[in-house]
Amino acid sequence: MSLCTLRLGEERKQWRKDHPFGFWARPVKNAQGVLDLKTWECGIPGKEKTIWEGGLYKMTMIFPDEYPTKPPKCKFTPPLFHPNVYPSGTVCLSILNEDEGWKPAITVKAIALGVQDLLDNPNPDSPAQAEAYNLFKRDRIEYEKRVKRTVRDNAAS
Amino acid sequence: MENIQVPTSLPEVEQLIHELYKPNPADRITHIQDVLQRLQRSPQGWQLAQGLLARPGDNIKFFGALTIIVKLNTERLPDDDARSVLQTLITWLINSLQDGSGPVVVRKLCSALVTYFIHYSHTWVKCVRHIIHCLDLNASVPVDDVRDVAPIEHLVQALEPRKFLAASWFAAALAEETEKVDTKSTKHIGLHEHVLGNADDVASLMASALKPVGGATSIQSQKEAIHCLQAWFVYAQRTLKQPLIQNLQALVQPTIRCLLVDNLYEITVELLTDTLGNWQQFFTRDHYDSLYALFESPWAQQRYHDLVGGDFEFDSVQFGLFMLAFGDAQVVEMMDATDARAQSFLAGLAGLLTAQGHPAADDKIFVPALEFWAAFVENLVDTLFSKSTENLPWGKPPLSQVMQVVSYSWQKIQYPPLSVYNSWDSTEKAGFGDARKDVADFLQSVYTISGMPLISLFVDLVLQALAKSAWTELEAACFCLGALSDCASEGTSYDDALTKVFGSALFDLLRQGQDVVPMRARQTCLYLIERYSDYFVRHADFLPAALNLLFSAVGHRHLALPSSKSINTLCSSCRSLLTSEVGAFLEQYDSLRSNPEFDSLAEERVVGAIASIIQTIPDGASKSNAIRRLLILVGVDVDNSLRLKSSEAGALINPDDPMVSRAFDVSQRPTAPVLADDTSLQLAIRALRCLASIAKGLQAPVDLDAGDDDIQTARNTDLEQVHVDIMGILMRLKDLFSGNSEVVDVICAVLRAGLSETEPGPFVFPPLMVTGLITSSWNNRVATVVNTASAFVSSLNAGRYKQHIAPTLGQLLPWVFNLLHQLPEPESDPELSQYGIEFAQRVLARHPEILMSQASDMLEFVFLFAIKLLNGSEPLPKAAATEFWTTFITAKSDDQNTQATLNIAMSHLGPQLCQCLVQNIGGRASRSELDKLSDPLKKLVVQHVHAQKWLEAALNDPAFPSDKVSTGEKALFLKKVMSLRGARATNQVVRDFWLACRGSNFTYAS
Repeated sequence: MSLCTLRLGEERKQWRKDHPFGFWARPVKNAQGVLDLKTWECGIPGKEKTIWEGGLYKMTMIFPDEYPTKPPKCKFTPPLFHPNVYPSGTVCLSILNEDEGWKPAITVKAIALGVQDLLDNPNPDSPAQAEAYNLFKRDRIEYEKRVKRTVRDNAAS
Repeated sequence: MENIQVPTSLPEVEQLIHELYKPNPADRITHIQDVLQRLQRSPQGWQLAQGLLARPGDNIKFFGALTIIVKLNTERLPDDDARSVLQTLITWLINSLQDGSGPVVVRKLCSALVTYFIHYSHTWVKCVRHIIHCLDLNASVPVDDVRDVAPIEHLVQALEPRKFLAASWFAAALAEETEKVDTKSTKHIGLHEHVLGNADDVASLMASALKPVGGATSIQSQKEAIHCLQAWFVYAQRTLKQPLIQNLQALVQPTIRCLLVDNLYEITVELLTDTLGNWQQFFTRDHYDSLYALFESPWAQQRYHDLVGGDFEFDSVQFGLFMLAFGDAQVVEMMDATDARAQSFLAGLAGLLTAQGHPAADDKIFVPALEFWAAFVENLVDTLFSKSTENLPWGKPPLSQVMQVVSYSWQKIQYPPLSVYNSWDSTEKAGFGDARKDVADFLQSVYTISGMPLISLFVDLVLQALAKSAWTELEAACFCLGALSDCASEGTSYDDALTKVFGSALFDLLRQGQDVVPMRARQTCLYLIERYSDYFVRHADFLPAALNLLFSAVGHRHLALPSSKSINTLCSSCRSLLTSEVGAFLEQYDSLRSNPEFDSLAEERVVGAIASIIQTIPDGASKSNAIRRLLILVGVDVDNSLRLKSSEAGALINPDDPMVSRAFDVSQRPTAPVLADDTSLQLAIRALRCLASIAKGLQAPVDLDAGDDDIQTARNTDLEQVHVDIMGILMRLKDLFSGNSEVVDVICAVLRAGLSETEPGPFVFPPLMVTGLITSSWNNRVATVVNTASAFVSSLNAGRYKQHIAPTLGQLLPWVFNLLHQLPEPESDPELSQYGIEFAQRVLARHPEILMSQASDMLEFVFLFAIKLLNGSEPLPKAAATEFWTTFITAKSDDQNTQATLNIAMSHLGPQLCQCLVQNIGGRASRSELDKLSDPLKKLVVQHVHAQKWLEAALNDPAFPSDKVSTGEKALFLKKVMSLRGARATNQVVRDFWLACRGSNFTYAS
């Protein structure tokens, strides 16, 4: 078995044993019902007492063959209104960047928590979409209104 | 802050140490620590330590021992000096046991001794034996004397309890501290060999407490021995060396016996559970046999009984976790249904799921137990599918146990009565919800082994619950059935099973409202319908009942969101089955609109759903007619909005006015009179959002076979009228409300929905109309409109409106450029700048002749604008400008005039562009921009003969931002870039150069 699959198997075990409250994450099943360990779907809840609270945002993690040497790609589906999410849905976060903060020791749990933290703490230094970024910087009231709408569209059931 | 004098005498130091332990402001404590640390590190540190250790007071002595540790870690002594430090340390240790010093002092001295061992292990090979020997004699004897000592067991057994504790603390610290020293590094091979050389003595020491001869030992000693054992287990697992492992294995049996001693239970069960979880290979067959025997003993039976009976105290739950760890370690045996002993244990693990109380809220063992079962089932799946069945290591898998667990967990996730549920705090509620999700996951895994029977099981449970009106059971069964919708695939048996549910009295009962079926069960049933929307596509006969049910629920505020979601999913996926019913849907919608609880988001989903049905009407006139009926309903809000807008300034509306309930959802509805103006705006937004949803609903599904239908090329006057009507609404609302950014965004969303369509449709407006709306005046967020204009132009490229490109751009380009021109600075509206430049870039890429034929002063303005953005600090416009220039450098045109203009422009702009790029690469850009900035550079060196000259000039310009690179380095950089001829490796060269320009101190923080 490759290092990638071994590690992902372990990640899965660890996640099952200990995952943060309100989150979910699991590998997807392909058409034959077999697990595809390299593609995970997960739900990132908005943190309590932030404007993102009440929403559960669906994200896909795609692990490359070189994982854990290289980080997974995290993508919100549908794309999320957020300064650090590209129009395609891809998350821009230093710990997910091979050239920046990625370390093979970073777990799926750490990524999920990192993304949750990013929701309410956008990084103004690396904008990924114009709309959310500029509203965040220049019109906070409108920004929060848009976030509230996003929360409603993604209401956790 | 008061300045602290550096002490000059021992009493002054003591004073300061006392001060350190008093309540003081944090900054004062830090300051005291600084002063004391300086003293510790000073050459007088040794004397200081000696002085302090001779003084009374635990804090003072502790600090003395700490000082020794600091000195040992920071100074290298000749071996002889080191040995005398060791002797003194042992003397202090012995003294501390006699002068009534507290455990903190004794422990710290043990740590100091271990620190000594880490640095000088070669001078103190048999450290454990030596310490025991010294303790026994109450004297610090020379290290070499221990060789003559007889078997250590006698000595150990003779040790007084406090001496035994000290020896135990030392032994535990030895494992804990040396475990942190890299066991793989060759540098530390010697150290670890010396540690292992003490394994026998450590084992004898612990054995004396764990299996005392004649039973003479104290609980305290046994506790310390187990604690010490824990440290050595960790060390042994790290190093995996014999004879240590064997020595430790010999202690497992006596440790197991400690479980039965009440005062030792907690620490022992933790040790065994951890080791079973982390290092199951450590245990031998004999150990496992003893553990099986233990679990079968009356003692264990009683604990199990207490736990399942609802005792969730810490020690009781610990016992459950111990069982689960054992089950995990024995998973291969557990999977063998012919292994009677394992199966009996496994049945106990299943029984853990029947503990009293609700998961998470009361029952603390359910979640970990379910986790075990989830892992167990996955192990089964892996084994079943990865090997051929003949080679299975065991007879047959214990499927009946798994089905038993399914049955238990189904019962456990049933909701408690509402009064109980409401008494839980938010953590308990969320925990219970998470436990339900865990069960859903578990069922999905079980399905992989069991297949269809699992579906049938829950179908039967639904029907049984229905028959006896047991709503909590019904809810749980529907939840589980819903969880399986992803696993199940099409098939007659599968559909037949579901038909039993969807063809039952369920829908009828649910429609009778909350008096009959409680809210929670209704919600879950609606969820079930959505999960199985595929089924309804295949069984249109049940579709009306399902939709009627959903529509009866959608007006209810607690059911609005799940049911509207289901309506949207069902209508969208079954659209062609519902075409003939469109009239009924419109009527349903019409009557819903007067319901004051009808939620706006639910309404958007409902109109979107109806639109998706309308999309399938083949006949153009009927289609337009249906659209018009929908638009008339939405138009009511538009008319009301316009009417309110025209009322006098400051006019108020009563909160019980129906218009207020249309304008505000229940949760935001005002209770006092509200401004007509606000109501008007909210009505406009609601109407626009409905329009956007209708426009999306009308989009053709992607998988539709294009080309089957006759493309209507003839003029369709009905459709033209619909276009005029919708555009009229958009224009009017825009004129009145475009100061509101939500209004602008939603109008743009309406426009965009038609852009991707290839067929004519109500929202596929003629280009002139779109251009008219886009270029009209906007009061807010015009950037969004520019971005929409980009999408619009791209759609013309792809669609059948190709002939409109030139005239459309003829209007849009000046409009965009003019907007940019009006900006006081390129970065004063970064979003507009970005979208404006992106617009220009797209035109340049596909239609350079149209861009280059714009008025020359405008072109000059745009080029300078793009240069400024490239020089600027707003990341997104800068990235857009970079792409613009990359496109510009490679722009080609078949038209000779255009090509000539491009060439002239390039030779004119080249030096400036290079200046700009070099400034960025020379350190002004941020690291994340470098890859993007390398693109124009790579294109430039292959496209333009003068590139080298331009770049050279820019590199040597006095304005170059860095003085950290020499002329030679700059020349080398240029040489590399030129010789790479645009290859990918240029990016790395650019990075290296940028780093050199920034200086070596750069870190990611900047």
